[in-house]
Amino acid sequence: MNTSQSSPSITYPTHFDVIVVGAGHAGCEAALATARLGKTTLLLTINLDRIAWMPCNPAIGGPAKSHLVHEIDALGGQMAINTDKTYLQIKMLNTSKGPAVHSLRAQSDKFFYHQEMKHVLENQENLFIKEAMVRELVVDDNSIKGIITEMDVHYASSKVILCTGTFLDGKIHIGMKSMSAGRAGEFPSINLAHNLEELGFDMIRLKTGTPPRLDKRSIDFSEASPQYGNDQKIRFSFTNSEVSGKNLPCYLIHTNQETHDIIKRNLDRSPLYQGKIKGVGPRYCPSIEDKVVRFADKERHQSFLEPEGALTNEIYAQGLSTSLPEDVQLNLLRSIVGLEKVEVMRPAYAVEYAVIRPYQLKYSLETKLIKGLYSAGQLNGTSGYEEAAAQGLLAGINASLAIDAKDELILPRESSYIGTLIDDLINKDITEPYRMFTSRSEYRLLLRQDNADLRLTSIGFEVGLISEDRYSAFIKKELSIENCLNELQDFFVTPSKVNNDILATYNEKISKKESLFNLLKRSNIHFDDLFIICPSFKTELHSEIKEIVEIHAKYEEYIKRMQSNIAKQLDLSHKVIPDFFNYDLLRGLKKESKEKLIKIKPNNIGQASRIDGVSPADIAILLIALRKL
Amino acid sequence: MTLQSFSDTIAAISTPIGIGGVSVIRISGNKTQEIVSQLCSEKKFQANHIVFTRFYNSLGDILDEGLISFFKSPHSYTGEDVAEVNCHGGYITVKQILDCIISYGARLADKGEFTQRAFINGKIDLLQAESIIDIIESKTDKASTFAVQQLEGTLSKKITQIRSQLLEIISHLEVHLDYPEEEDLQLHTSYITQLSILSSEIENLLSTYQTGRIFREGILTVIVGKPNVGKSSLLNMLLEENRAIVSDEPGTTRDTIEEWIQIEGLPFRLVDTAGLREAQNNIEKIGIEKTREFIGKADIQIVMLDADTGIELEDQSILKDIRESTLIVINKSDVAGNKMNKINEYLKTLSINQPSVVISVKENTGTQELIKKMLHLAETYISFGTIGEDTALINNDRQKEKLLHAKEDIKKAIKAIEGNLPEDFWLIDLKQALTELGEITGESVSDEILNNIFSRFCVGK
Repeated sequence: MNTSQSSPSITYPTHFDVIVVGAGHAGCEAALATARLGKTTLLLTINLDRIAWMPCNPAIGGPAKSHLVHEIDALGGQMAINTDKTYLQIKMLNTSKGPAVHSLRAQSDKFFYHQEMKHVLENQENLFIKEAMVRELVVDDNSIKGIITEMDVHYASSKVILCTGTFLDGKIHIGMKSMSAGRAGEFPSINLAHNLEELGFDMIRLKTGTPPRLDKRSIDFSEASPQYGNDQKIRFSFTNSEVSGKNLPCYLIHTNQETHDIIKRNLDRSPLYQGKIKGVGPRYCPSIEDKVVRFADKERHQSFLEPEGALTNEIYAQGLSTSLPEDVQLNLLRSIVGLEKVEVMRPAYAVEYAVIRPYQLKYSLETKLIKGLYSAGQLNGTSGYEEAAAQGLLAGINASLAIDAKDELILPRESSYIGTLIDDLINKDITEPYRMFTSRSEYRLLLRQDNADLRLTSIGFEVGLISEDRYSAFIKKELSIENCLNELQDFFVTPSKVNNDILATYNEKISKKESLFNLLKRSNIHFDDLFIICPSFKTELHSEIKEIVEIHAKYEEYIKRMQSNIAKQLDLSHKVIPDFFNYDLLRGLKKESKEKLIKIKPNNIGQASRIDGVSPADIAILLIALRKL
Repeated sequence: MTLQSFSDTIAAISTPIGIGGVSVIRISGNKTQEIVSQLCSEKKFQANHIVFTRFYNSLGDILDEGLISFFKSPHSYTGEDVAEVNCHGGYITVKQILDCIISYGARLADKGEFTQRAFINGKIDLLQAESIIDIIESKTDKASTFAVQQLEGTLSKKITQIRSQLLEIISHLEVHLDYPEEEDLQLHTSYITQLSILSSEIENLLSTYQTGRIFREGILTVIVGKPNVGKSSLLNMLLEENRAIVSDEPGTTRDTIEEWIQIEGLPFRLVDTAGLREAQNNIEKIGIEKTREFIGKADIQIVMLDADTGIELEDQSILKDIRESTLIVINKSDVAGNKMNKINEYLKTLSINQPSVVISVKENTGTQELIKKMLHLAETYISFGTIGEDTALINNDRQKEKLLHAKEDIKKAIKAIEGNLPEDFWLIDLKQALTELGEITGESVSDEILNNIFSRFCVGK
């Protein structure tokens, strides 16, 4: 397979170990990972001023996404550190709903975020950044050999990581007007999209949208309720990263009946409802016209007005994404209380783009089709900066491991959201942009943000992205947790009157001698209360450690149950399906299931059982057939 | 690589052995045509045609004559080439023909293997496969009616209904966790009530297990008594009065101690403990223990006393174990004369008030009374639930286990709510319940919850 369309006029003199195409959130993590692992890395972007850009929500984190950011940090990625330094507001969400769904969310200064990440990239050893658009891949004998830019420059490399976001054959829509663009005001990458198709990739088109940006001076905030973040300096990173400490408010506003009427009256000018947009958009992030049509009985929809940066008047109107024409956008915005005189700085728009259907990926994010070619981020059908960064990091790590002829890094879904994400991408039929939710994990209680470092730091260290210093600090933390758990088992409280009087203030009492560990199981008693209940118990511990220990005590039974579920699932993973297994000879499988199994070629029964549409009955048939092999 | 799953051809007698004028041997697999060609003079078989033919053994001797119907793959019960050999009933002929078929290249089918192949070949789904096995194994008309109903999906409809209500609750809680800033998604206050209703619906389904079990396994009725009290004769007497049902395993009608009878549609599985006790080579202790075990398990116990010998030591030990659902049968009324009073007095001193019947197996008297009392006991001590046309019946252990687990999971969730644990912990149990229910109907959870969230709730950035 050699698809070079034309011989390039220039061959770049340096050979790079790795080329990363695209410098969004996936590309940045990928390039930093390979460069930090000692590989000379070339990072190509269409526009140097858009590195680590946030073209949609100026925010990082939230449920499940926060978990991803913590995991990226534990593996040695950059996103958490960059967010901590540049946020405008940070908030812990879901604090009362269980430790597994505690989620940190930052409102980011999107300009500062970009600047800071660019600064980190520019000063990274082994990393070279260039502005260029890639036209085609150089492939020989099913292996990647390099890339050729639109300016006919040939860069040679045996590892290429594609992180092209929404740019592949991108097309934006505002009303019935549409134009080819990667994002509003930016070039699309059309030739590369066609090149991938010619190389044999199965591609689909997805759609996403973004709301309008409003001029802060034209908004009347007196009717809107301000939403602040936490006052404490909390951070995503497990390191002692620099924390912004800012706490700028967002504002909550609502649509009304008039807004909805305006939308309904203008549906004939919506490219979505007129069938002009063919790509499938995310159901979890519907446009305002979609919300109004599908949930017609709702009297109002909420919108958060979020600052885009400390030094800009641009305000992001979350919840109001639309592809209606500009005049309708203005009318519907001005029907909202507080926005009567609003001026729009950038209109909302929808974007359609080409995506590699991710069943064509290995767990390492290398494509099955072309050796040495990796793909990460929106190109794989995901949505979200965090999802992209997680994949970029993994692809970078695996490209580097491959160069060193080491085993690839596969994160199982039992121990991380990153693993869950990749497993889902490969096995679920991606028909809409994929976003992470905590409910996507069967093991939510075990995959918390607070224990992401306990789950992944050792892996990051082994890979080489975690420094010796950080690793030894981590080992110390692990030890403190273990020691603390032991200590709590060794301290006892007797059911004396004095003790029960103290306990009564917590609405608790004991009738027999109880260990501090058992006391901590009670819902009204928290770690710091133990010092009062049992004055002889003294320990200097970081609040993080206290939190983990308390979770461990309080939810021990649930944690144990979930661990036994994992053991069962691992049994299925140990039932390996050999490469030569011929599904065509299996009668009785549903036609749809058979097609999917042939397409995805699962490694084991566990994976097969997670493939969309493969039913327990299909698995029963597979198991019987495997037994007879 | 070739899969071996279908490379062999299986055969089995598919009608009860020794009963009826015609027996059917079924053959399935890719050697079917070759085997039947060897078995009879016909060399060509047309699909879906019935051919009259003679059956020969390998020496060319005629074994029998009869019909062969041939079904071409995939249009057959198993999806493979299938032949059905209809020959004359009776044990020896059928066995000889089956032996021939096996010598021609088939292998004796395992229990349920035809159904298993039908399932593997996509002719039936998992629930249907289970139901077919229930029909095959059902001992009475009613049992097969219920199995057929299940085949048509009464049970899955009911479970699907419970499951979708549970899914609704789960989605409501999940959306609350994944979209913490949506104002309109307030938590209900009525989760406990809703979950309690679901739990009691599962409980109702579970209560049908008893009924399902009765129709599948029969009302276990043990006959106990000292040696020679007339247990076997009583058994035979009951068998003569009622339609005997042949057990599914060959030979059981002759050598075992179990028999099936049907009284007004109810299946009774009669166990004569004589076999147990007297075949133990006089190791009395084991015999007594076994008898006790049976009495414990049985739905109805028939304790037989001998009017002629009166109450002996052994009778006294048996009478210690009687229960509410025991029927006392006093045999040999023909020779007993006034000894009967003594027995009644003895029972009275022990304040044993269980119903008793006086019979004579020798003169065949008292049977009708006995049957009436057995029915009465069955109706009194076994809860059948109310069974209508569309009752969903749980009738196998797998379904029962899954339902039990689901119920326990929901109970645990209720406990977590009451214990003020955060929502995430309610969901751990509720999702487990959802999985258990899904495993009964063969549905997998995967993206269901999210799909439901997106279709039900207006959420998003």
